[in-house]
Amino acid sequence: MPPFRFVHSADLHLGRRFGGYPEDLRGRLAEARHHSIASLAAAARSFQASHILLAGDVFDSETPTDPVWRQAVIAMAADPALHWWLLPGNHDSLAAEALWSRIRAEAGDNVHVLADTRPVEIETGVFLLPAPLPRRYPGRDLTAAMPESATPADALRIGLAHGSIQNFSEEGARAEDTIPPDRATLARLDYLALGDWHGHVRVGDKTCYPGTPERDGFTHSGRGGCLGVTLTAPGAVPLVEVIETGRFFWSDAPLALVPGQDAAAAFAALLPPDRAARRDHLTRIRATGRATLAEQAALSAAATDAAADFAYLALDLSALATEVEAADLDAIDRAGALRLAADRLRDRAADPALDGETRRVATAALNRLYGYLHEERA
Amino acid sequence: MRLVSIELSDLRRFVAPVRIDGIGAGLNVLCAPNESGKSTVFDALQALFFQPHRSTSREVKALRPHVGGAPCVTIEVDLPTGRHTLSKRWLGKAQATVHRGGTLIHQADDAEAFIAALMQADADGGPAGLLWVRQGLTRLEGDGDTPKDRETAKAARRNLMTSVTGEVEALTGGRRMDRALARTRDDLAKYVTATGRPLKGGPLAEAESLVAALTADKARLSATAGQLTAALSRRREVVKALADLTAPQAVEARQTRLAEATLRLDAARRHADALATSAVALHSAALAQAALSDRLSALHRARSACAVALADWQAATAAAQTAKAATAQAEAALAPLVAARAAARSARTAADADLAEANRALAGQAAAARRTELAARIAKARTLDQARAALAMAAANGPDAAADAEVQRLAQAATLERALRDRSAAQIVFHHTGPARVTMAGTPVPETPLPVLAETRFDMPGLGHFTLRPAAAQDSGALDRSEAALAAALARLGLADVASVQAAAAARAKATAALRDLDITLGSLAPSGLAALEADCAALPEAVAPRPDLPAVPQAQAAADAAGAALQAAETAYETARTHAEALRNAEVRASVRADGLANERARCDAVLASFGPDAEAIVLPELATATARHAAAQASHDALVAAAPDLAAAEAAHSRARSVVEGAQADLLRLQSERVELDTTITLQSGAGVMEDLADTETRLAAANATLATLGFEVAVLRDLAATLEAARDAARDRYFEPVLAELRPLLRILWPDAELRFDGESLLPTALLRDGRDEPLSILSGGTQEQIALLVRLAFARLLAARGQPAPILFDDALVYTDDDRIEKMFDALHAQATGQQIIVLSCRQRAFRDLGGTVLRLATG
Repeated sequence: MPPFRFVHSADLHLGRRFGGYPEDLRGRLAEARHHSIASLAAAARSFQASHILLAGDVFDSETPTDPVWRQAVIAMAADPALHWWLLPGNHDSLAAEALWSRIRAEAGDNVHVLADTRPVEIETGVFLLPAPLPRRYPGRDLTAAMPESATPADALRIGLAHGSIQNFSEEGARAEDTIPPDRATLARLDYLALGDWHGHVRVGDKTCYPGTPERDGFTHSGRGGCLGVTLTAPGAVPLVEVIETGRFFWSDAPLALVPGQDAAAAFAALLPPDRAARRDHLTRIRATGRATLAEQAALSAAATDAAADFAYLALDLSALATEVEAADLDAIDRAGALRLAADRLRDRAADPALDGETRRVATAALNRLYGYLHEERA
Repeated sequence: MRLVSIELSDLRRFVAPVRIDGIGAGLNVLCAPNESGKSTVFDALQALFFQPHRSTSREVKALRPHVGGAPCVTIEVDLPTGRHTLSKRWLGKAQATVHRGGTLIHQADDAEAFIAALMQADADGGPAGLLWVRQGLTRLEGDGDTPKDRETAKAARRNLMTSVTGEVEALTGGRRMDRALARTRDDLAKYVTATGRPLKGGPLAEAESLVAALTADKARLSATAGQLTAALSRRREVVKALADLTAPQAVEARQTRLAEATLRLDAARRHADALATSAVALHSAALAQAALSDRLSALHRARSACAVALADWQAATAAAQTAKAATAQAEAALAPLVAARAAARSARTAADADLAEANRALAGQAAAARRTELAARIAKARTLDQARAALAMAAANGPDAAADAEVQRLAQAATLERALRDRSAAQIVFHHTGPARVTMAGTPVPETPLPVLAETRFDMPGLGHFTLRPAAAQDSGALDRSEAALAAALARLGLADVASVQAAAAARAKATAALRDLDITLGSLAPSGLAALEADCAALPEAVAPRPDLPAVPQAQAAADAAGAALQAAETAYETARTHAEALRNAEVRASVRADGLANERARCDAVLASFGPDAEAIVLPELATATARHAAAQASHDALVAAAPDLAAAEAAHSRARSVVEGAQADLLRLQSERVELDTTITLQSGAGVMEDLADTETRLAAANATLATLGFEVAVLRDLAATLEAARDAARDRYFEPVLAELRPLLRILWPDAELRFDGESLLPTALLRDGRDEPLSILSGGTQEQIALLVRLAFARLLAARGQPAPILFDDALVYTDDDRIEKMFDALHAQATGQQIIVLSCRQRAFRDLGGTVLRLATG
């Protein structure tokens, strides 16, 4: 038997709308998700694979709008040489009867909905053992039936499931739903293609989560991708290759600061040097540690200045403590009422007897006073 | 702090070092012509205290000489801890040092901190350096010959006022504080109104509106999504139910169950009909058996009744005859008792007659005694009645007591009138010495005074007579009226004088008393009158003579009582016997009636028995045996049917259930098919609308909107906190510095203007007006001289305040009085001298003549 090559992907979540982001970006992100179908097709072609296994959550809900599912099916049918194997996940479980029945009715011959657990021979000697979710929370390990699924002795067995192994879950694992990490071994699988976790994880030799083809949050940094899998022989360790398919690069970087450090420079160092690429970057930088009033002012100014380069740039200062130095207060005023006000704000910000919110407000107020006077001087 | 010396080098015009030594503790004056470097000294001191040694600011660069170099300033100051040397160099090899006693104690930033600390009143602020007035009024307006000179003077004056206001600004934050506070308020006003409510159309209000709208959208979409989810779930149930209902096995099972239940129900119903027929037959047999049994029992009861009736009739007849005999015997015993009762009645009548006659005889005797007593009383009463007529006549004649009293009163009145007349009349008194007596009308005249009322003749024996004629007649009207009244009263009574009246009245009273005594006596004899007494006497019975054998009343009474008792006993005996006889007669009647009644009952029972006919029992007994056998057979048949009966109710219930299952399945099928169509429609419509995506999108957007709202809320909290802190700090500064400054300023102002006050704007805390002679004069309209005087006095006041707090700081004036006239400048000198006690003041001036009289320590700039 020649090596069998296929593409493993999952969690396209077509139809997701990204309401928490600016209006113009939301459209771009939604469009990028739809474009991931074409990216997967391109990846399959480049990987010389004719089968694309989607391990659940192709759609973000059980009732996607007609344009979402129709355009998705049309995109999949665009290349009849590619076969798409769609497994209902927790977001688009079999409970969505209407959805899957319409897809079955309208999709081309190369789009296959895996609605039951019967092994499917997708190519000669290659059997797919699907574990579709009958509903959002099935309440049991759906891969438990795989060991009993009969296939010819020399056939390749590929498990296709959606769910968490231990705590690898995007939405919190339920103990009764958990897939045992040695399921591939127990079920004599040559490869267990999983979905649900939006980042790429390889669990043992034969079990993988591919991650989303297009990232959708800061939980998993980088660009989305899929896996190109090659099964050389029954029982052999599969060859797994990560293929990048995502358009947007997501990053969530901590920025640890200490007083005296050039906060603006440290911030700038975290930004991608290729300014042209920043347009497709969503970046969140979480400042921690301590910084002086002047350093915080410089940091905020640097963030404001760089934000326009990015699809999205957020500087989170909530965990950054203010280091108030005498020179900062002198910069506000050496004496008089302004200095008195600054001293009082500083005292409140550092008063352990006050609640955290009051201290946070006082810190921000001191920062603001410094900023006002700093702008005035400038 | 007190300045002792100043040394400059490489500073503007002073390329070579220059010094000012011997700066005293009080007032110091450096008078020098223009361009001698006074302002350079001022600027050098400013730079030393306020420009960091690393500074390259415009002000610092302005200190460098044209030829280049590193400006350097060194001063000596006396501090509580001793004499210190402070030195700064800028631009080239910049450094700051502090020496004490020739020893370096601070340098660089430490030195800066040390120097800065000298210029602060305390930790909260209050810069002493603000006491310094930069040169600016060296050219007085009018003194200059060119417009440029005048403009320079105006600018200098403005600068002076600016520096005045600068003091207050420094204390309260001044214009920087105003700008920071205004900026804070402006930023806050973008979010909330003055009352703290979100500003309509502002970011906060919009964020709140967005959150509210998204929350409402989420609720609406959640409801719709819930409906959609429920529809999806319900559709699965419906599809499954339809599949279950239409499964061939299920359909066949329902039909089979119904057919079997129908068969079982039919069989049960047929058995139930047979059982009902059997029950009717059983009932009929029972009725026949009961009827024969009843007839036999009735025959037996009739026989018993006839026997009982015969026995009863015989007993009653015997009892009636016995009662009749007893009655005859009782009536025979009643006759002697009747005779005894008649004899007792006669004896009682005779005894009662004797008793009455004895009583009449006793009453006649009592009436005779009464008549005798009444006759005596009648005779006495008649005698008294005759005497009473004479007494009554006497008691009715003569004056009564009232008339007598009237006559007595009139007589006394006449006597009184007469006495009065006599007392006023002439009196004559004769004293006889011999036996002869004077007479009047023949009567000897007494030797007592004798009134002479009218012409009176007195005869004097032996002498003749004389006539006495009173000169005038006496007034006797009253006496005459009294005597007339008395006479009239006597006439009415028919009596001659008063004594007669008294006697007649006494006789009448006596007769009246006697008449009263007689009436009392007569009343006791005949209380009701004499006629009544006589009638009572006449009514008394006449006495009758008793027969000789008449017993006395007691004996007659005893005989009568005995006869009564005998009669009572006879009456009782008779009544007892009569009652007994009556009772026996009644018993006889009742026995007779009972015997007749029982005879009738006997006849009725005989008739009943006869109605059964002859040989009745022989006929009934075989029929009863036959009926009993038939009933037993019917009962056995019925019991067998009952034992074999199927449960009809259960069969009906089973059939009903089976039929309802079939019908229900059909109805469910129709209903579920209809529901599936409806659900498909709903799901298709709502899926097409993207409800789930909308909900997920709305939830995400709501989370983002809530985060934005929280951020804006935090921003508002920050701005509020900042505004409140700034306001509080400004208020605190004002309270701490501004009011004490005013207190110190007041006596200094009054050196120039008694009762003057300086007004400050409450918000900006800038001086606005001078209150003099009860009028507010805006600072802007005051003369330049007055304005500069106020500026100087404000500094002196501030210095006084600092000195009073134990933090004296030098005051430095660089040509601060350029507009002040000669008279005012003297007063200003007085103010400076007054303030120089315990306060170091350094005056730099180019007005050498004007300041010649200022006094104080004279300073000089020395080179080398």
